[in-house]
Amino acid sequence: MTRFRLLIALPFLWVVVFLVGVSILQESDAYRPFLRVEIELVKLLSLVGSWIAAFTFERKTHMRRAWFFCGLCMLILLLRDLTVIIPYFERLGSRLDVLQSILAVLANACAVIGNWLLAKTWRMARLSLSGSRMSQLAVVVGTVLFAFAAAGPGVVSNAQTCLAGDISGLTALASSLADIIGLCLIGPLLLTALALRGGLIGWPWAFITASLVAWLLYDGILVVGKPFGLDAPAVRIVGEVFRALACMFTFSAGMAQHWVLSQIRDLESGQSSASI
Amino acid sequence: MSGKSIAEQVAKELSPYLGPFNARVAVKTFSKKSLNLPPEELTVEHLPDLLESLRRLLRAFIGHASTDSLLSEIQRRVK
Repeated sequence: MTRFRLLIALPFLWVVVFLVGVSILQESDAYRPFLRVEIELVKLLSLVGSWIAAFTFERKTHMRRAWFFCGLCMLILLLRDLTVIIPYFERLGSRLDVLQSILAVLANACAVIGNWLLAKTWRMARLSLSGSRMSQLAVVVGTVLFAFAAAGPGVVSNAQTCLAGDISGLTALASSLADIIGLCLIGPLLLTALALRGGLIGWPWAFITASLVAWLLYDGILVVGKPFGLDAPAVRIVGEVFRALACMFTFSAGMAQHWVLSQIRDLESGQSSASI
Repeated sequence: MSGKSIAEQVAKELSPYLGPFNARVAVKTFSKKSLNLPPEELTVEHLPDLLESLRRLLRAFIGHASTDSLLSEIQRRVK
């Protein structure tokens, strides 16, 4: 149980350290590099957590594929970020936009596939979801509405940019579309986590749901930041807080998945008591 | 474990992993679906078939090796 509590605390501890760093460096030249390093680190940890979970499962299992695609999304995003960081890629000129757009579309497709595979696990397992049909429907409809409210405006504005012939809008459009689909999957993931609450197997599902909720808030703050009176730098910082939470909860989910499987496999050798 | 029905024992063993709600529901559902019996009528002879029917649920969440470990442990502990 202590290990899982640590996984709950870790994303919030990360955010505290990040905000301390922001408050110290905000006015200095080191601020932008600090943000860049923080962003790449959380993506890297998200990748590590996802692939630790993936490779804990046997080959050709459904969950291995799901976790693999979640991690692959982060790997592609990290590769895309390299094209931003390394000056060599500036030589590509307009082709750099195309390359970045392709990588963004691929990354978002992987995220959708990974989350979709995770979200359909309960159906494959014939798991009984908790709550009445009506309450289950209310959760699904509610998350779909939130998803459209948070990511919908981005889809419209980015589609308009693309239709105007600006290919750079394609990256943001792919991201917004993937966000909507991914966020709609919060419903089934949340219901799975609720059904498994109190059990070891429920931990990864709780963390992955928390991660998607953080992504929902990341998108949401971009929409409601200005109306709430936040200036652009404040929106950026709040956005980065939610991005960090989203990535770190994925890391926690992956580690929780690994520990759950390890604990169960230790049953045969008599090393585990399944204490939670 | 003595004094408890087979269904109650299996649900108790599954509870730390699936949570108390789903452990009870899973035993009830699969005893009805796979064995065509209400859970309270399960005997120790039905245990292998019940565990086999739970395999699909567990495999979806924890894969093959962990499922084998967990079911072996339950088979060993439930009497």
